[in-house]
Amino acid sequence: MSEDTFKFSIDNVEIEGKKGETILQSALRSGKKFDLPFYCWHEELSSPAQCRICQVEVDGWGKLVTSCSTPANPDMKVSTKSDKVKAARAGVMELYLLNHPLDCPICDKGGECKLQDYTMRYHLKPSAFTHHKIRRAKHKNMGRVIYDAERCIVCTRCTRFDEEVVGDSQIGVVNRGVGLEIDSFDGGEVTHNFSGNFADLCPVGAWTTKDYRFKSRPWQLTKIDSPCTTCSNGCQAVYWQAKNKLHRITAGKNSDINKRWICDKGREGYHLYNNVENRYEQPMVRGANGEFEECSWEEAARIASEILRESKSPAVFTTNLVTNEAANSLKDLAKDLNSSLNGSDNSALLENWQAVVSKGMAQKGSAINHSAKRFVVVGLDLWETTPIFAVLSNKRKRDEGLVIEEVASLDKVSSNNNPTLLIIGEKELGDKSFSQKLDELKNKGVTEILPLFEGCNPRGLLESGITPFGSEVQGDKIAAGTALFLASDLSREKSFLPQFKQQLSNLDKLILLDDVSSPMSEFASVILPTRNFAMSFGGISTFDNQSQVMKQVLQPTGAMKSVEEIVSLLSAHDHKHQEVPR
Amino acid sequence: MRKNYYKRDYTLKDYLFFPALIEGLWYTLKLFFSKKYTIQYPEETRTFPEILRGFPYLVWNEEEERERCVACKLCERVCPPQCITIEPDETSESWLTVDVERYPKKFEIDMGTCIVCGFCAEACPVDAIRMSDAFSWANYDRNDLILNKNQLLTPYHDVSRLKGMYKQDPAKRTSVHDRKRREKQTRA
Repeated sequence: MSEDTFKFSIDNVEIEGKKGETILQSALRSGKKFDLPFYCWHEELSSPAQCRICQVEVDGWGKLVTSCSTPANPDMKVSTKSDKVKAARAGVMELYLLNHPLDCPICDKGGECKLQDYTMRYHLKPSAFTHHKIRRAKHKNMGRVIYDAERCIVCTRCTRFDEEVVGDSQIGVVNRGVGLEIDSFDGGEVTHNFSGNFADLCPVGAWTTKDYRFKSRPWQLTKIDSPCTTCSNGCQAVYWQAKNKLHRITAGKNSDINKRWICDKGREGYHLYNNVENRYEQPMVRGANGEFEECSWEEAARIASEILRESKSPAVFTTNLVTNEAANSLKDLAKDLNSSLNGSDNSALLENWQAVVSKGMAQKGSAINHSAKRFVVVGLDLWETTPIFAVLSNKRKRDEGLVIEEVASLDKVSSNNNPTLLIIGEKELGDKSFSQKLDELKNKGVTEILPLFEGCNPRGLLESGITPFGSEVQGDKIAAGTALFLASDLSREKSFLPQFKQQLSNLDKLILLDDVSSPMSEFASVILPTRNFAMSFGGISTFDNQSQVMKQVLQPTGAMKSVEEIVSLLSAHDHKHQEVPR
Repeated sequence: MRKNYYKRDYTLKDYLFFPALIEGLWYTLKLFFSKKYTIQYPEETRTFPEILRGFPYLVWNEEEERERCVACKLCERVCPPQCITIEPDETSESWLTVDVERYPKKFEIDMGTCIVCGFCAEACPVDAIRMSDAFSWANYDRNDLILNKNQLLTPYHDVSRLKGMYKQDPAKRTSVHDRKRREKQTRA
């Protein structure tokens, strides 16, 4: 027990308190179950102590105190079960329910609403209110979220989140007294990329997302903790699924990556995995007449490995939406074919990265808690590539004075004595002269370098010695005769680009590993239905090289197989390029 | 050895056998001409009590010309055999003109699975689902027993109207809850 910790008791149960910690924080940290309700308190936000439901009685103190803002003292005797506390809680609940509308059947929050839960626990007698309830604006369109002023209990969690975490305050509390409401300052919509968090924060159904409006109830959904796959930030998310379809994503908890937040793009990223209509059911092979014919897995694997065996130099590609295990199995497949995955054999990007690693300048540790005093971002917009990293770094900028500089190119990086984290994209890292600039950058104060790419798992690929899939990287590599391509939404998007289309049409034969049909399929000779990313299980690395585990959230449909299974099927048919003595 | 209680010694009647036969046949003949208590179902039925609980149906809101159901999914949750499927959706009217903006896009009850417990009617917060008096349900195909929203809104409880079936006119039939509420109002 160090100097700062002491013991105090809640309901005669002894727990440990730290200096400066409030009663509520100590109680939650202890892991023991206490009867401590709260509306306006949130572990990532300030405590205004305005909801008054967390009141507890301390032995020897006359008035009740709010446990969310009262620091714990040594040898305090806190009681949450005394008559005074019960009466106080019942009183607070009564006042909240006075004007609260009877919306539970139509409110999206029903089943996970704090007001509902605390009413069942603390509300002692039926309401004596016989007048008409106040009518306010309902269903107010605020961009990707909807605000309902009647249900709002003005806990101000949303406004404090906007002000303290996002920094770009777009909503605030308006009017006074009984007319208190939340509104945007210009009356318009909330435009930043973090409005979905209002729905997570709100203890009642005042903020709801348009995406999930009237969709389902929480009791029919199964929760699975898995990282978000929309960008490389790798925020911890909670996937809610029912009947093998995803209904929504909410923010998960990870103090090193995303705290308790998730951006709107990630929130709406689950629609990608619900595309049931276009899914491939069976493997397909292009027959003699040029049309696709369905066939069995053995037949398709045999034809595919025949194609690979007969071709001169087959190339193997994968996009960044792949687990580390799947990527490594594709890497082994490429090695057996005397080629490399994503052209890693002669990739300037990979050589530059190895130079960075050998100089000890590869970024390590959590990026949002990084020890550097200055971030230099070259040619990227952090708010687009990794929004949660951007917002939490901006918070550090306001709170701790972290310096964030945005420059257009590497030459414009200024010198500084502070340890600096250099954040670069694939353009700079893929530049052939990059490794020579490393010493120069070191002299300017750069201690660590963090590469940012598109897609979900580029850092994982980089760390495994594979070039991540990007726009610049593929340039000349895809000119080979045959290719095996593990596609995802990124490549499907790019297949609309004329340059990529040209490269695909130059191919003799394309073996496509994909789960839904797309314009890429017209160039394919063999289509092997692959499990999409929500159905895979494996490890991925976030952009700052923290490992996350992608847990399977959906069951595969049809004859889908995982990437590792497909690679082993192809290996079984002896696709090896050189003769292997048996 | 215990005495065998069910066996008695044979008498002359037993040895003759014929009298026992006549005794039985005479009893059958007697019954042939006596009053019968069998009800010829389905042409005749017993009088059913008013609280007879039949299969559920959806209530139609006359003024607003829509179903009363707001797709809260409470009946779906409480249903023990889970035979109700609901998909909520948003109405196209604004909150200024209608009281509720939520309605069930899909509301299906599988009558083959329904156990007629009445939990759904009990759970409904807006009295949108009630138990009818229809109890006989025969069909050639199980899938035809899955009723959709339109079928549930049609008053099918009036269809199985048989002579002398109820103590009161089926057209005037309402749920027991409604009748009791009306009585309370007239009393108060």
